[in-house]
Amino acid sequence: MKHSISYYPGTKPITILCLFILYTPLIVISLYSFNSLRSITTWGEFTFDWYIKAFSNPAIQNATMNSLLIAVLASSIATLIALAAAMGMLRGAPLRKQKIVVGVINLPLLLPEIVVAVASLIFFIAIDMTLGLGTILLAHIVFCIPFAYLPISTRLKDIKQSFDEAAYDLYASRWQAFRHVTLPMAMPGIVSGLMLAFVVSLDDFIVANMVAGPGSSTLPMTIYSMLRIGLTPEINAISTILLLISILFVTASWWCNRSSKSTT
Amino acid sequence: MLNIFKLSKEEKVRYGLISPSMLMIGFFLLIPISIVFVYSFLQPGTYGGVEWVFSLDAYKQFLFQEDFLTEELQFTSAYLEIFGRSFLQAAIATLLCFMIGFPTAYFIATRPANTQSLWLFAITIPYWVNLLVRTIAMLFIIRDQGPLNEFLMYLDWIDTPIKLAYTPFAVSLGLFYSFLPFMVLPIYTALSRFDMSLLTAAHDLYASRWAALKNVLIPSVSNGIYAGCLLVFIPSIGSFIAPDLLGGGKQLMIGNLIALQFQGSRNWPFGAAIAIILLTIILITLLIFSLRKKGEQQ
Amino acid sequence: MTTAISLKSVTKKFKDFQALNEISFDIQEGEFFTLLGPSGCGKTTLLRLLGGFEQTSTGVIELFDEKIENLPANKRPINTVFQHYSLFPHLTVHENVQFGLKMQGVAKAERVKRADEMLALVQLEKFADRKPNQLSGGQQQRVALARALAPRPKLLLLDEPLSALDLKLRQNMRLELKKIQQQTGITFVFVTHDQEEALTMSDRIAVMSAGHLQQLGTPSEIYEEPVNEFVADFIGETNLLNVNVLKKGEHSADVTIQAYDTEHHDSAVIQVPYFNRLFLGPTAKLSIRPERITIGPLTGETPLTAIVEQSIYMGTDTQYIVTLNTGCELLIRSQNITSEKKTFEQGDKVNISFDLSTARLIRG
Repeated sequence: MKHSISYYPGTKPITILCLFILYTPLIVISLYSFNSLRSITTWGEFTFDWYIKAFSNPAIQNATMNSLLIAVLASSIATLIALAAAMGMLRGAPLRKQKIVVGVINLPLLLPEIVVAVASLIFFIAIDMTLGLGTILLAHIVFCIPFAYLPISTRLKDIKQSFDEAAYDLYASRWQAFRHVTLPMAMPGIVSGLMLAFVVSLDDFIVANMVAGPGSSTLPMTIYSMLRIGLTPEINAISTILLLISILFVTASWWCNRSSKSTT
Repeated sequence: MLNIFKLSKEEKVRYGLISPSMLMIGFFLLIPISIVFVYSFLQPGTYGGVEWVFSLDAYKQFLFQEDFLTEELQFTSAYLEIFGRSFLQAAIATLLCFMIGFPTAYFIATRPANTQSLWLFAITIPYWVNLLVRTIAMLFIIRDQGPLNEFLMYLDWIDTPIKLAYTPFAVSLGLFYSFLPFMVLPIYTALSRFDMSLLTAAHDLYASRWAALKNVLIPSVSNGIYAGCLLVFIPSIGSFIAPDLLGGGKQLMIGNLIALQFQGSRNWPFGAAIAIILLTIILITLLIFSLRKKGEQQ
Repeated sequence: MTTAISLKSVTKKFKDFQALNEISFDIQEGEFFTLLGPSGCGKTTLLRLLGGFEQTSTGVIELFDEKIENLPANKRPINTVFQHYSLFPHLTVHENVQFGLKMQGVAKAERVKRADEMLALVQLEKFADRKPNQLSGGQQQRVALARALAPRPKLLLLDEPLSALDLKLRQNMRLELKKIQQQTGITFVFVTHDQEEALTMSDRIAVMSAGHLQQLGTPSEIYEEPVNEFVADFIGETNLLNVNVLKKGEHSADVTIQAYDTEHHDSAVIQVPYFNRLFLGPTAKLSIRPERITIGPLTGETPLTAIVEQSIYMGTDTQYIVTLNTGCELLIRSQNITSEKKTFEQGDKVNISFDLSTARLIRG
């Protein structure tokens, strides 16, 4: 391998450096969330105190509930919309205007978040909608759609049209073919899309921060406002929780897609 | 436009399935962006909002300032500086990402096929972690009393903490950290389609390793490199969190300037105008990229 | 005998491409009927029209005297064994076989019983709880068959079902398919490009090419009495010689084998049978199967002499390529009956003879 022309010295150390850069901050902040002392240099003892302290704060409890509620609703609704769109796009011959549809679905990915945030704010005020959880939810559904669409459409493309034909051949109606064949076969992609959308909704700070009304803070917004006081161990604790949820869901989503690949 | 009366029943069902996504994105994103465009040509209201009077003031304000006493327009570079800084920060972040991302993508693409997806996954996980959390983690590490400075002092390499947090470099570092996976993924995709035996062929034709890299490999995967650069550059130039937290409010970028118009100083038309300018810059960047791609295909 | 399916002037157009051209024929109840032809001949399109996966452009399809060409696939009592089986990967073997019955709303107990019967028919009872991807190709093939048979269709369509199997398995499955067809009495429409498969299994064969029906008949009719050059050439191997028709009788004609160049002479007049329209003059071809030609040592009085160009030993038989005194090449296959039987080498002068009743005159 080392004598091969395709071997370039240095790529391995750089890759390791790359992973080191990506992971060190996350690992360090998690570690310090368990340090009983506020100090950086000295380690007291292992403790869950900061977690208990953080989550006994009513504002944080409230924000956590808001975040979870919005993430669950936004990701489920976005997944349903994305699934319908993917079914319409990919079952049958290519449609006219196919490219435009894909372009529109991916639009939220292309625009800077801050622009999406202010545009949503202006719009909600223009149509006289009360800012609050409802407006956050609507905005989240919109930018969750492309994240849910991606794994679902990838999966549906892998399911050959002949499975639908086999179902029709065996007396299934359109709906039965979807319910008994396409849906179960596409399930790994759907679950994967749902989880990505959930993570994306849970992650959002910029858009929620713009379109939230009083009393409808999400967890990232609460962290942001706590930062004014300084980087406290409580922030480390909440950050660690958010970080673990994201990693857990994304890993599950990835694993879901991976294990399903071997069966088709 | 589609003529819905000419569609077959099946096509109607399919367009019907597609319509919720189009309506959602059209209603809650395309219309809002159009409103931003309209607002950028109006006058600011006294307490936020807009006055329905046509005006180019928002765009003028970008380059000129009204003198308090003489009411004359004077050229001001304040906002241009913010744009310049945004460009520079995004460019530095893109360059850093490329320097780390390209070798990483190459390393992954030359791994055995069954382990490649695992490596890629390891690179993408941090992207899914909350951007705010990642930026806080970075701030935690590099601040004056943070682990990095403490560690370097412990090693006696430095006597006083290096001032890293709240500097322009911290912002670059934050952007680099935020968008690094975006550089790796498209370059990896291009590399995985590249036929490595071409390098052997180049070698056979007297090319050294580096000559083969420069003359064969990089030109073959240039589309992946350009895509990676775009994917880092575009979100970087419009970023909000990294300059806000790591720059400590002193290193304003376009994103912060827009947010300010809707929160603090409350000049909606000006905020809308900056947003439109930002979108135009992104559009031009994309156009240049797609033209270059087309030119290459011919 | 009742007619199971009847096609009347069926055509199918895809944009500018005419896939099927005025196809008309009947299939009898209980028949093993094969659509045979090279890829792109329209046989799969015809099968998809029968199954309801494509719409006819014009023409009528009747199933037991009922028009079905406008019924969707799920309303036709016709089932299909797909080329790549299309077994549902998320369902077990048993659930796959039950699928059609479940969609028809058959009660669970009945469904399970019928699926059990079907799995017994294809000898896969032991694999009922497996997923399709845990089965071998041959087993998947049987599940696909059981699944399609379970709803007791009036017509079973089989789309090149054996093409994905290896040779040995393919040969076994031919016998098995034929056996199951006879046991169930269901009408089979089988699509294949493999002429050997078609000849060994079918009651009748429809040979298709370029969207047209070329010939319809029993395997022996197709093999022995090809109506045109395409059928003669596509089914089995054959020698096609240009002939000059001198005189037409009622069932036979007097012809001479045409010379290729002036150096050679026209050979003697021979009398051969024919079955379709024929014109006088150099308009016909003589088809002679390679195994029907006898090769022997040169003797004095024979109409045809030849020189051996190539001699290939092939185990069961020896294959010769010889040049006739008229200049044209012939392929001959001679069975190796005894090990010491004399073979001929390159350059040998030989005598060629064939039973004239086995040769066929066809239009050129």
